[in-house]
Amino acid sequence: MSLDLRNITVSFGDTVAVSNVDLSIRTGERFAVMGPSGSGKSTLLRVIAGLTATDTGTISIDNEDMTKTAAHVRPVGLMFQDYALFPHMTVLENVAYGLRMAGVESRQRSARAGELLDLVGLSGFGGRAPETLSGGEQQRVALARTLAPSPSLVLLDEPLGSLDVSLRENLLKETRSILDAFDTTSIYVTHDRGEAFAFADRMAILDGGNVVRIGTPDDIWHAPGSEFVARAIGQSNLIPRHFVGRSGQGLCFVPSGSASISPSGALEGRIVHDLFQDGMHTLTVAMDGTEVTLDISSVAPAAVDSLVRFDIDPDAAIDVSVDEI
Amino acid sequence: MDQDRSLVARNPFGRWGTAVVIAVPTAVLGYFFAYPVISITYRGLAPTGHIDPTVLFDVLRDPSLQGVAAFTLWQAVLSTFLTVAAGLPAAWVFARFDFPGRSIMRAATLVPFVLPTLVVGTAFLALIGPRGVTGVDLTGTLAIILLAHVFYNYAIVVRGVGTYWERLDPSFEEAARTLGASRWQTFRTVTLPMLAPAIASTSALVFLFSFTSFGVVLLLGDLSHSTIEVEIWRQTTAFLRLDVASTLAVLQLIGVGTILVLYGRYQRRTAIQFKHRATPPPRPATTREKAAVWTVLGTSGLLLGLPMGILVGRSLVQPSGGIGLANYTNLFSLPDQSAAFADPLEAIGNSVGFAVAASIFALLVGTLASAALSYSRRRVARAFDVFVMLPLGTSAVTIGFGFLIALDWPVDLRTSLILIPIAHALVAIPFVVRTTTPSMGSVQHHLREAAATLGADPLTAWKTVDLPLVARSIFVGAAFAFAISMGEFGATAFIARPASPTIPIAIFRLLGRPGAAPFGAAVALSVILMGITGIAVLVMDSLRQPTAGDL
Amino acid sequence: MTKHTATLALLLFALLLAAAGCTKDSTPDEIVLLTHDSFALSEGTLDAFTDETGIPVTVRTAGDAGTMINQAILTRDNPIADVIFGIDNTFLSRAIDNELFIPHTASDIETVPDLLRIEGDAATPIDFGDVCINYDIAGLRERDLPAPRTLADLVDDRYMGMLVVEDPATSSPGLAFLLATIAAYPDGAEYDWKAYWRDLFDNGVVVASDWSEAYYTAFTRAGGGQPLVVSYASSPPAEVLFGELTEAPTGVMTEGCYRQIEYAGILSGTPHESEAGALIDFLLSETVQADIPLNMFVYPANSEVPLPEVFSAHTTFPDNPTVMDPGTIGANRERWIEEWTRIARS
Repeated sequence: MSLDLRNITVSFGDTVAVSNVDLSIRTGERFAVMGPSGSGKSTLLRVIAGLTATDTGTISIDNEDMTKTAAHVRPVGLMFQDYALFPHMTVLENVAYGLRMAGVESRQRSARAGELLDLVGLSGFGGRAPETLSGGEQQRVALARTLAPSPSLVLLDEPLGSLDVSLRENLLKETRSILDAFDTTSIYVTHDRGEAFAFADRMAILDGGNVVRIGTPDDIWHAPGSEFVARAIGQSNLIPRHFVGRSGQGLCFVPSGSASISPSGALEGRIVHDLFQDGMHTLTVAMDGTEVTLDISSVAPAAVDSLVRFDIDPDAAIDVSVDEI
Repeated sequence: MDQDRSLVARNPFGRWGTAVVIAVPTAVLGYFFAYPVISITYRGLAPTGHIDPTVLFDVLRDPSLQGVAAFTLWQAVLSTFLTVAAGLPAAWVFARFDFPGRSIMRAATLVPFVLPTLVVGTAFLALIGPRGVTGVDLTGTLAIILLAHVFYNYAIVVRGVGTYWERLDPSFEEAARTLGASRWQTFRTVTLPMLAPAIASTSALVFLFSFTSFGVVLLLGDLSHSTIEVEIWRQTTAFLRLDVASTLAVLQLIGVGTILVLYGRYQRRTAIQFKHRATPPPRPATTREKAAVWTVLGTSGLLLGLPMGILVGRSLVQPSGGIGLANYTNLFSLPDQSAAFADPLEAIGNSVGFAVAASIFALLVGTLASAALSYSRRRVARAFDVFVMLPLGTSAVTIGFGFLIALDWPVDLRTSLILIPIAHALVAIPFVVRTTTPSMGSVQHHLREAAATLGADPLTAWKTVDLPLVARSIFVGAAFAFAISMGEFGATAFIARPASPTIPIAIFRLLGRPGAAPFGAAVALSVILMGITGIAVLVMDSLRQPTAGDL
Repeated sequence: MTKHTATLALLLFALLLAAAGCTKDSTPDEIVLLTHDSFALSEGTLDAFTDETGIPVTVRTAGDAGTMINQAILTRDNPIADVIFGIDNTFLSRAIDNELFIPHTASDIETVPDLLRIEGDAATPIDFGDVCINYDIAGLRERDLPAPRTLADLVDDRYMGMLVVEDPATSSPGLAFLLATIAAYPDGAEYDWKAYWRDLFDNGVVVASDWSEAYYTAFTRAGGGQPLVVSYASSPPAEVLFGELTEAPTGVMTEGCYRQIEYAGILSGTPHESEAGALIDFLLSETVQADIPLNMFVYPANSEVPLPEVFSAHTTFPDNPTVMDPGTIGANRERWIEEWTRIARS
């Protein structure tokens, strides 16, 4: 299944939530949409699901225009951040709901829903009320429910957002493998770059309703293209290019581990902060109106407030943005 | 923010669907309420074809009618305030705690609703009459009228607010407590504002009932304590002064309409997200909770239980003295002595039949009206809300005589049996609407959206998600509808009925004869009425229990 | 609600309308009798009429007598019944003034005392009863009081707070008693009924809204505070019959009574005038008349019909009950009630 969004704009009164978004997602792709809260990523998801009306633009699924198609007709499944499990139905009834809507006969759909519960590791939970389940269990019920009618496109809205950090990593892996088992196209919306990178084949980064970058996680990491994207994907150690001997204005990202202390180092700065963690000193060094973070060995090179000289491996630096003059 | 442009959340029916949903209740209320009421008031105000305004001014200037109007409003406000104040603690206890006999007591709160005023009056007088056991004589005072109104309307608050309260997530209150709020501050700043829509709803119902109070005022009031409702009846029956009666009816409608508009302004359509609870609430745990629960239950037991207990006791006092079931057996033997007495089984059959028909009718129309209110545009909804509530605030004389002069078109329904359940349903529909609308507006829109993404079209989504979620509120309304119909003695008293009576009419006939046997039989039949109502409500209450995943 | 349910509701509604339309009589051979809630005859009595004429009788009850007559007036142009029964002489003029009846001279009318009949036989007297002060024998004994004998006794301070009456605006025995006092202390007399009632109120008379309230809450027999009540001369025999007693627990004050006469009439809009006339003849026939006393506790208008034993044994016949001309009542009723109400409220 492929999805094409052309020129999608959604505004709420004066606020533009999604602005002129173009996006193409290929069949079988695992796609992530990442951005800070308020960047329009949930709205974009709702537009794809047919839950929110657009001002302009077209949505095509498999080259078929679905802009005006009602939500319940689109071959799209959406997993809500709060799961939206039906409180008046059992777990099994929840999972079977989509099959019921598709007109699957009662015994068959119970069997199918049971299989899905087995798949998400909730065998035997079918008769329970959703509210008696833990957060992680509810998440898996919601996933099973979304997948049950075999949608061609699965949308996941912050699927791990309401869960403990300790649960997330495992559940993310599980979610990924379950989706793989279904071989469907999926879009994963999150504000967490870790989840996005771990999940996606390709991802888009949203800022204020605009798509600012699309690419594979690898591409984006090695060519963020803007300071916003760089910071969004966790590249916080940004320094002007000339520090690593590159010409032109602009910033580049230096991995904190790419520095080495040396009395003959080319760069010099004042230590502002020294964090000792996991046997490693992380220094924050101020120089020439910028700050840089350096991970160094277990031995503190100097006290806070003293000057220190160091080198940065220029090959490790990543160009973030080059401002042409 | 998301639902502002939501295609699914706001309206499950679409524009045309909403139009239909509004049209059906409007047509029903238009034909069975507005048309008769307009016909009779027009006939009263313009007997010669044009309206003579002098009557209006005469009525407005009449000091005794001014007094009646003032008293009507004053006692209704006081009654509403007292009923809410008395009912809220009980609503809390029923919503938050489980205790032995909870469901039976909950059902019992509705029983006073069906009791004929004269029967309740005798019980009240046994307590607070000239020879009452308490030694306090409240006859002829405002206090006894207010007490009777609280007695009758208690269930509206307990059940109306209680159902809503039951579903409020207690964690809001817990959060307030952890932020340093005292119990009282928590109630005032968190619970009360969240309950506001339900309190406003039930207050409106209690107010309308008290504002149009007839039997209670006639029995327990005196000539200086009269309501507009009683005055309309006096003017019609005693003097056939349709002009004065119609003027009063219009004034009553204006008064009721104004109150309803004000209330509609106040009532925000707050969408409090309900917690769905599959498990019953806990038993009171701490000593403090136990003390509170038992105090509240004791007070309501005294208020409701004592008069009802007296009636049960009285029904066992035999005409020839001694304790026994003679009054019950007399019910069956009296009809042999005089045809004035109805066969009790026939009366029970009639009453239950009418009540079932009235409940079904009220549920159909009321649920549609609720949906119309919940999903139509705000201004339309407000006007519609007032319209739906009006029958409750309209004089029974006006509606009853209105039926008589209006409903021979297009087919003659004036003497048809269906008028009886319809007259009952007119009073019951506002209850269904008031109990259902707050819940309908509170169903999380995400749930319906989830249904949409799972392939449910908007109507199916509404049917499979919203409807089951509001079902418990609908059943609360159904219980009211049933009870109202079982006890209704308003508009039906003014339409021509077939000779076979309902239970209230059979009681009324028994009380129209002198003698210990008819009186005893009337009390016995009242107790039977209480029993049937109690059981029916208990059954409906059990239906409203959640079924999914019940542990 | 779904489209289906809505359609279903509409359909159901339409069906109900249709069904209702069918039940409404269009067959000329059914006679509808409109009456008040206290109407009662033994089962099968009306069947005799059907056996005789082949016309079934449908009874519709319409609340109290005042409500019933208002219904008849409001539906005069398209009546809901053919015959009305139960209009008493206090309301009769309202019916006649509104041209409610087609005059009919019943076949047995000669058996009815002239006193009960009205001019032109616009309506036919069917039964009559006397509204009198009743006293609770035990209640008076407890208070060491003799039974009052005259209206004048009632303003005696020995009977302070002892009497409950019904509001004449809302109750027909109440109005009957007011008329009895007006007959005794007429307008224009030095001590007129208004003066009498002021004295009654000074003497603590209690006002109930209707008979049931007076008899079953205020009267001492029912545990109330007043041993004297405005009721019927036939109440003591009813107490005996329905209390399974041998002796009446209440007595009747034979002065100051008012004779209430109940009439039947053919409603002017009926398309079945002759059948309606036949029903009125039937109501005055011995079959119905003999059935009346023990069902409605009133006397049959037909003087040739004997009274049942329990009725005659325990009934006290009042001395010269007031019989007032319906025309006089009609001309003054509203004024009298309004003046009474003013006195009562002050």
